[in-house]
Amino acid sequence: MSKAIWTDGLTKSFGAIRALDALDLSVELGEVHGFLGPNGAGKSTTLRVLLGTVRADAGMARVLDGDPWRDAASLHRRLAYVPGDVDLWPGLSGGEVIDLLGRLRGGLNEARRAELLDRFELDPRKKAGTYSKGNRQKVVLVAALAADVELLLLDEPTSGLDPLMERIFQECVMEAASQGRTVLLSSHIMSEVEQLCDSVSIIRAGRVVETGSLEHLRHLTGSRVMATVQQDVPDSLLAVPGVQGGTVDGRRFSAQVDAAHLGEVLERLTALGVTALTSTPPSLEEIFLSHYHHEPVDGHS
Amino acid sequence: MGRTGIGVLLRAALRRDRVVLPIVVLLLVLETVANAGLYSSLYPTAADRARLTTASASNAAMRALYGPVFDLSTAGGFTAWRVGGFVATCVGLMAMLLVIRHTRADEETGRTELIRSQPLGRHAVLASALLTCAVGGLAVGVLAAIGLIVLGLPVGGSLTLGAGFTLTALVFAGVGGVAAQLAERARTARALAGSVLGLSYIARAVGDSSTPLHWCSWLSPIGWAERLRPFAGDRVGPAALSIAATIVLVLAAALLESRRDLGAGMYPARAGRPRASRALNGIAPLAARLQWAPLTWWAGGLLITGFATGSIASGLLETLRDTPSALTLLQRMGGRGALVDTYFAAVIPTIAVVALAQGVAVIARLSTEESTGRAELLLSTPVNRRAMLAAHVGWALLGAVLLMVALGLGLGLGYTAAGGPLDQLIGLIGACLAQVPAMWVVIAAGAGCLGLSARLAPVPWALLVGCVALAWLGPLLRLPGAVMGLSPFSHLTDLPGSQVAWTVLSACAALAGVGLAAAAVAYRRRDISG
Repeated sequence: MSKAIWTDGLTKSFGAIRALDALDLSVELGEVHGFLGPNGAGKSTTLRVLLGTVRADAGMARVLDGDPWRDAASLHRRLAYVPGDVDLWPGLSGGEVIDLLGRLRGGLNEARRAELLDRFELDPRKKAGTYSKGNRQKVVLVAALAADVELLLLDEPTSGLDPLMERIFQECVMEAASQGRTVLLSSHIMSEVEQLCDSVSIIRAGRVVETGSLEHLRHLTGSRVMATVQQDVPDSLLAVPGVQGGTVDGRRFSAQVDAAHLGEVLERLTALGVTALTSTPPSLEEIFLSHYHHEPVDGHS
Repeated sequence: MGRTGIGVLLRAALRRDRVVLPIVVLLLVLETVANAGLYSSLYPTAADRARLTTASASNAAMRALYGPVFDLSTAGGFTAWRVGGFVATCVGLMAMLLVIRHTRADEETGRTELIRSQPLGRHAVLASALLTCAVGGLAVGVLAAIGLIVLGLPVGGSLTLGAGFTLTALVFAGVGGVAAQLAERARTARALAGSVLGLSYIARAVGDSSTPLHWCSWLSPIGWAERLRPFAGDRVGPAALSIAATIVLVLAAALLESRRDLGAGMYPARAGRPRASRALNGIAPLAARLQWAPLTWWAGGLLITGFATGSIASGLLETLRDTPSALTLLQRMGGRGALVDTYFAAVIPTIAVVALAQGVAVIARLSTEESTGRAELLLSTPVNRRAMLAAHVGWALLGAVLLMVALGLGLGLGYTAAGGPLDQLIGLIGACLAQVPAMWVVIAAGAGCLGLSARLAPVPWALLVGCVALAWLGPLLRLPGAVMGLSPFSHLTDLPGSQVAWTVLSACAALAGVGLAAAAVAYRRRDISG
């Protein structure tokens, strides 16, 4: 077994809406993999296929070397799932829900349960019907993180958490990673993914449009170059291949420049007489937006 | 000001209830009008009517069940007595459930938070919920009155009876409104308002049946509606009590709402256990935890209904003995055995179809597990779908058995308490149990809908309404056999009083088994929505 998750050409339609359009996703064992995309891009549908609650129309999916649809029950002993929003049973207390989910998964780590309740400052005696959204989220998070499982499938798990709890969540994911667990973290919070993930897949309209380590993605997207030169910058510089989102303001130039074309741009800037130059690697947000800004999005959500 | 947005919310609420509310209204109106229409054929002569009046007025159990006897010599007076209290109670139940559905239940799911973030008045949600009930209550009152007038009954009495229905709806809308403010959870609010409704019914039953305690009826909003004396004097006075109570309750609800935070109640929910009990260790114990409490309420309700129905048997038969036309109707429903057998054979299926609502609610609860994302959460653990389906649907199948035992027990004990022989008990329980296979067929059909698609969730309710309508109105309207045959209940033999049709019962059970197996297969194959 080399990969924790692997899909090939995963396709799923709900009526006329194509939620997944030949989606290829690959998550290595032991890595924290960010799954980035806006609402409606197909993140939750992908996770549901991986859980075996939704059946793909076409394509292959493997989770921990099993078929998520056929081997659902046996695979679920080895993974835990946290949905982005869930209504818990109003009459059950948070502690009861955590124990129930733990027992259904075949037992949970008692010490970790107590520790997580403490760290997330969750009162397990309150009835789930009276919890706020953030507290409901903590209940499922504690249940998942206290389980001794190999794989965590997290679908926007921090929605509703305050920044302090978000911090605790990040610590917990890092601990899980250090224990060798694999984490698939679906999110649209860039800082969270940037902080936690070894690698990232960006999904758009049901398709993975970019995947790889953060380093690799930075390289692909190129750096933001800002320069001040001695003469007015000709607009033709913006037309150089590999230059994106550029602006020219008299003697100032600023643009996103692909690594492959950086040399050419620098040469032309040097010819104009550089007086100041900065080059910053792109943030994940810029990488993400570069996939969403420049082409019209053809998917609907 | 608190009024902004009421109109928009009212339209939204009526739109949400556009299917269920009209059906309920229509059933209640039909129930009223059908009884009025039947009167002249049931009691054609003055002698029949006089006998009915004397027998009913002198029978405490019948007064407890139906209400005080004012004047049974006219179709209007008979209708007001026979269905007035019952329909008023149903309208009150409808109003109370409706208010809680649009206030506390929405608040619990967080929907209200979304609405309240809009520029709306503080009381807009409550006001629009109360108005929704007013619309429903008015519809029942006006349509029932129109129906009776069309049948040729006096205009004054028809309007008075209709007004009684509408006023009862208003009072219990107020009760629901207050309960929704007090309790933090919709279920608690329903229990609270339901207790008030139950006590109102009991208070009037006590007052109507016992002369020294007759003042008890004046404590009950249902009693007030009865004391409008439709078709027997048409009094206006008691309406003032209903109106005053409505105003006080609505003001109280508004006041309570101003004094609390969104999402909070006056009675905060009690804390639960920090750890699950040892027993809560799987999908079956979870289903039991969710399904057990409603089942016990149902069983209690059927025991009481059975007892009341059993206790009036002798008195009712007394009034019928010399009224051939009424006997004909009874025999159309219950067969041609000994008179008391015919009576029980007629009432048992009409109650059993209502008890079927328990089984449909069980299936609805499993649909809710899915629509709230809880099913998905459970299925992300090693729980398999067949086990989840079985854990819930089992409560519907078992519930049918348990409820029919409760009904039979109630009927037998009530009959005995009113002077009948005790040895009927086993036969009555058996007759009730004979309904179970037909109930299973409907439950299996409902489970099949759930198995096929989450979108079919309303279909089991439609099946239930269909069965209730056929069982209640079919014999009155003399529907053709082909239509009646759509309900599995119509294929059962009349028990007690005739042979047990084992082939029909086995066929029903086998059909249910096939349906359940198909449901399990379909449920395994479909997507679970989150």
